[in-house]
Amino acid sequence: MAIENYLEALQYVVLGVPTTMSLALLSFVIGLGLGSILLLVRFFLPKPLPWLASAYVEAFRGTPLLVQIFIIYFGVGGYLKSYGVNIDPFTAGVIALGLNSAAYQAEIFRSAVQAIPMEQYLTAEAYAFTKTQTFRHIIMPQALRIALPALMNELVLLIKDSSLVAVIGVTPPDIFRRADYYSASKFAYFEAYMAAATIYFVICFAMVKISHLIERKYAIPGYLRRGII
Amino acid sequence: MSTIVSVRDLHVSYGALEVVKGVDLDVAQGEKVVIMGPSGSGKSTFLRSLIWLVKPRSGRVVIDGVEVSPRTLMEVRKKVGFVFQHYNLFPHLRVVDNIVLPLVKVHKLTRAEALQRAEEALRVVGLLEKARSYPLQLSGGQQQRVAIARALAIRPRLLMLDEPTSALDPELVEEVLQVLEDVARRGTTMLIVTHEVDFALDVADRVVFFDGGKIVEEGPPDILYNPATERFRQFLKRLHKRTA
Repeated sequence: MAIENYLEALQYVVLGVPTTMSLALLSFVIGLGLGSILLLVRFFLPKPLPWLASAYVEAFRGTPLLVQIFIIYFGVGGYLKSYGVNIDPFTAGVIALGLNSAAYQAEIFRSAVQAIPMEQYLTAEAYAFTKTQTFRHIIMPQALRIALPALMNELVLLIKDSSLVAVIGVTPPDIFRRADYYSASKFAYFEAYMAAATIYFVICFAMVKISHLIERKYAIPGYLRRGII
Repeated sequence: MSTIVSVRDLHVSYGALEVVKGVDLDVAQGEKVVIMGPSGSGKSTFLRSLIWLVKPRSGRVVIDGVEVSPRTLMEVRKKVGFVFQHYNLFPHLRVVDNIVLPLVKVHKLTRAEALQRAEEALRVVGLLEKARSYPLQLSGGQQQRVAIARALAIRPRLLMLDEPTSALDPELVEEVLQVLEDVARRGTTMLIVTHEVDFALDVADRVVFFDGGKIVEEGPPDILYNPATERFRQFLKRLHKRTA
């Protein structure tokens, strides 16, 4: 490995960070919004709407993300083009990642809500809270804390999965696409992709650390947890 | 004296299993009624079914002059304070906010009024200095005292307690019973499921013995010394053996 090539690759590839982070954060927010809606549909609405929400979740969990990106960009994008509407790769990427993440975030929320003991609901009922009040003041604050580590993990997954959007030619190029460019122009494949890996790792590791800080900040005082590094 | 609770021919089932099999009970204002009975006798289910935490299959319940029905359910629940075996405090809220939340959200008090009531209630249970703590930072006995304060703060017409000391370590039982005795002296109407015989003797106006989903025997606390039915006698004997 030529160290100077690696360092040069790092400087070149790091310029993809804004695109990668925009892809990940935007799709995370879409996933958060849509995932919350899916949860509320499952929690509050009459059948068959909760079934439809579950079908959505299973459809996106049961198919590869790359296939979903292609369906959105080439499939849906192709149809829209015939009506004169153009979706660029970045938008298609954000939509695909966002829709996919919504399915996973909906599952994260569902398991968090289900982790709240029945007694909490029972107590809220006994004290004449409405279903909405119970959800808003008793269930959600506890469920969000339970969901927090999994949500941060989802963000880390999105940062890494955003590299898949490179294959539809996202512009401006993300970390992975810039590594591609670099490797092709310098024939330094190992250095280029190691540089990309390094940058992904640094971002994700920082995210994990931030996640721990947030978890600690919002931990319920007195709640005993096992010390896991 | 007016009647606070009136129950007629109450039946409660879990699916095909009938747990409460036709119970009649009247509780007068200010009266303290202790319910005893072996586990599985339906006493907890009975208590819960009065405010439809478990919906009865049939029967009639009137609480403070209001018949419990889908239309009146919320109104009735607002009149009742309920204390659970496992305290069931809201762990993400400070002690004071556990008490304030139902007052503000359900009873529509201002925060200032609610805080004042919370302070009063915490003083009654002797935990004013723990107002800013979180439930899980407290001992089981303290948590149950907070749960009692939460129930008192809504100024209930009826206070129901479902085995309030059964989940506690033996050395913590006394502090909770002491608080309940103080509460009883304040004149609140109480319906208490408990196995604490000494407490029943001190506090109860009437003791009701449940077995097999029915009231088998009831009377003044003296019946604890001299039960009329064999089943109650056997139950008390086992209880003494355990606590001896």
